[in-house]
Amino acid sequence: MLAAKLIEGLVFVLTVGSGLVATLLLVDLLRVGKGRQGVAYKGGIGQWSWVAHRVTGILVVAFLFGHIVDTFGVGFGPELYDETISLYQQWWFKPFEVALVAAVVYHAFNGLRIILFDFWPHLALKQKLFAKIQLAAFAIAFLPAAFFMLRSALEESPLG
Amino acid sequence: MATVEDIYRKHKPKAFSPGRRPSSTEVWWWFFMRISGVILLFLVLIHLYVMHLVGSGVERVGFDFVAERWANVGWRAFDWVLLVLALLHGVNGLRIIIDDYIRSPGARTAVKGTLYGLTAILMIMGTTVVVAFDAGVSG
Ligand code: HEM
Repeated sequence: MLAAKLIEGLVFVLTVGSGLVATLLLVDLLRVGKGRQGVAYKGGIGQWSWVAHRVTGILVVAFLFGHIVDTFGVGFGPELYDETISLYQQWWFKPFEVALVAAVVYHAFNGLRIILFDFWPHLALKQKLFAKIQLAAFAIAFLPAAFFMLRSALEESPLG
Repeated sequence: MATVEDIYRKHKPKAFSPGRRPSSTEVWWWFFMRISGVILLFLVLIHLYVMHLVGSGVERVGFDFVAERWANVGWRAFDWVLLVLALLHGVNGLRIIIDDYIRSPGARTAVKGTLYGLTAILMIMGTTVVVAFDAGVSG
């Protein structure tokens, strides 16, 4: 169905496009590292957390735009909706889904860290420690989820 | 009573405001990012767990699945709050990023105008389908 293909295309363009924007931001930042003035500030783990927060935020909101459009399709009946979201059910789409989950979980935990520092500024004196705790929390929440998601996809793939 | 401005002035690291007072709208958005962030933390993790992890994950999602789930007003309310908070939080985040990278006033207005227009359309589309979806009519 044409409409389903168009929506799938939109989701795809949004996701790839935001990935490109995110890459541009990274390149911009690396140039800042070589002595150029720019939006960057101190460097170190705190700054990488900031980059990662920005990049994951852009990725997630770009996917959200497409996701609202595909969900809107459910109002037009099973034919359109089921064909549209079949994109998400291909075994090869699983890595993208896992990447999206990673982005959301990272952004969520990192956001919590930012909020803690804003409301209890003295905690920011230990920002490096908190950045590491946050990475550990991310790993604990994300890795098992990724394992279960990838395992089921692997069973359906030609390899499984 | 402490206003949001007071809370902001007290808690925002000093380094970020060298004697400058941010506009009160900006302070409200700063506050909104934190409040919506804390609420989203729960809503988003529940959403990911229920839709991507339980059972066979997204494989089981389809028209019938949505119809069954939305037969419960609780889930409709959950999804609508998630939609509104995530969209506002995400778009306000994009606004901040646009201000960081796009310096010319004309381009800024154009890009932000497009973004806000899109946001309004998406908010209407999302709200319409969550509120008005009727499996009997569509199915
Ligand atoms: C799940 C819980 C979430 C938490 C705790 C959270 C927290 C935050 C916080 C505190 C900020 C402000 C950062 C700052 O002012 O420096 C922020 C920025 C942002 N968030 Fe979230 N967020 C969450 C979910 C989301 C979601 C679902 C989206 C996408 C729809 C999103 C997109 C963004 C974007 C684009 C920014 C701007 C990034 C920047 O300015 O560099 N966030 N988030």
